[in-house]
Amino acid sequence: MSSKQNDTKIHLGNYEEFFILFMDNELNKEQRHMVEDFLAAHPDLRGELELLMSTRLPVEEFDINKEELLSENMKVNSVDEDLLLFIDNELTDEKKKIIALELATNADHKLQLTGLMKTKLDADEIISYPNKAELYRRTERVFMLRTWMRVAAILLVLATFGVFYFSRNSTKHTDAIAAGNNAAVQKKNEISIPVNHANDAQPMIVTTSAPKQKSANEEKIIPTKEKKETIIRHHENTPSANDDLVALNEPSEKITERKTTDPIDARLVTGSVIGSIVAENISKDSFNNPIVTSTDSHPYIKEKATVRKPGDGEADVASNDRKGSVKGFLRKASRLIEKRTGIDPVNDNGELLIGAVAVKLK
Amino acid sequence: MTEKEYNECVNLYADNVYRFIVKNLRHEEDARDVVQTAFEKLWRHRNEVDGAKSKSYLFTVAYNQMIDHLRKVKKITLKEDFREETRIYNRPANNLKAVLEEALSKLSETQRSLVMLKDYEGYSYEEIGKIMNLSESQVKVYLHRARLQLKEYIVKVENVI
Repeated sequence: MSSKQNDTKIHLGNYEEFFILFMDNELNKEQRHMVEDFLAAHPDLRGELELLMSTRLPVEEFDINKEELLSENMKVNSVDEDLLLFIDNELTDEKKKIIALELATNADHKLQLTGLMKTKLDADEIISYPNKAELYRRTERVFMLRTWMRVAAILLVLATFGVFYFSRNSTKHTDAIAAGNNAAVQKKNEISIPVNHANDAQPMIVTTSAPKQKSANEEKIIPTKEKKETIIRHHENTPSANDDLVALNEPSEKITERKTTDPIDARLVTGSVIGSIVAENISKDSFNNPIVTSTDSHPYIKEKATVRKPGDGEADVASNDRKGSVKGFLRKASRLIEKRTGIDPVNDNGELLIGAVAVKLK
Repeated sequence: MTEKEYNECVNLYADNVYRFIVKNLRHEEDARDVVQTAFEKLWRHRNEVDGAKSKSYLFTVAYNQMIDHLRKVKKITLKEDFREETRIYNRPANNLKAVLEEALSKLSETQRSLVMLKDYEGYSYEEIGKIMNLSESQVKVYLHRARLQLKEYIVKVENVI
């Protein structure tokens, strides 16, 4: 009860609440007197009340222009609206005709319309977009190959490569034959001239049939003087005479043909020095290869390719012929050696020793 | 809509959309961005957009994009408006077109857009309502107010001179 009584009376603990209610005019007469008495007792708090009173918005009175709402002005507005709809082309055909008639007769309406027409923007005004290209779009179509198309493409590529490969090989083969013929003709011409090839200072291309671990067609360009030494060294190093036989049996078929017509055998038989005969016979292979008369080694390479070619039936037959002719030649050479030196070239097993250097000690 | 139809839309409407936006924003680069975005959206939704309605679609997208842009740069726009106001007195007022431009700049974005869509593009109230997401009666009232405001401004300037 005492707290309620305290709340109804203004004191230093609740005066702010009373001040706000006073400002908002929410206090009754008795309470207002109570506040005024409190302010008289505490004049220092009057300033606080005045500050609160200053936050109240001042009362403003407005005079609305009632003329705008009068029926007369409403009529003008309706005309305005019609004219606006007219310029916006939003009227029906009937309404348009009525407005057009009114405009023809009423100067005020016409003036109003002229004023409104000034607000219309010029539709012909053009403002171009600076870069239209950036707005265009292009879609990329992905062309999907079907399976049969893919297969066809692969076959086409393979066929193209095949044609290219075979055409290239056939050209090589033709060139090799032509080069071989040329070499044979050249050799014939050279052999017909009595020139001692052994002493020829010109370098020769010597094709040695090397041991199996070496390349079968290894080429060396060596001077003829060195050639003999090479050949001898080769004979010393060779593990068996059979390898030399193989080496001698190597020459190309062209030489086989040449040998039938050439008097080379006779020349070799009438040779005075046994070593030179043997050497010449062993190095006979060198005659099978063309003497280098130019720097162009292509014909040679091509010829070599034809010799190397395995599985060639004709080449095998020619090789067998060559074997027989070389054997015969070697037998003749052996007999000659036997006659001259008195050494039996056949060993105890009845094998013919070829390539063995025999020196008679007397 | 096919690719060809889309590119045809670029040819036909790019300038119109750009004019609509650049007059509202009064900033070329921003206007270009808005137009580009509108065409990008058209391209992305080309399968759903009917070719005959592509113009309205472009204007709708561009308008919404522009409103978004204005919300982002509201303060800058207010500053520009202030500058425009100061420029009015320096321009030759006898040129009606220039005065009308100034009057147009005084309007709100909505009012300005309404006037431009009506006068430049010739859209009906209904079409404008669809583009700007307003009812037909709203379009009518807003547009009328805008016209009267423009008229008032022009008359005022003429009287001053």
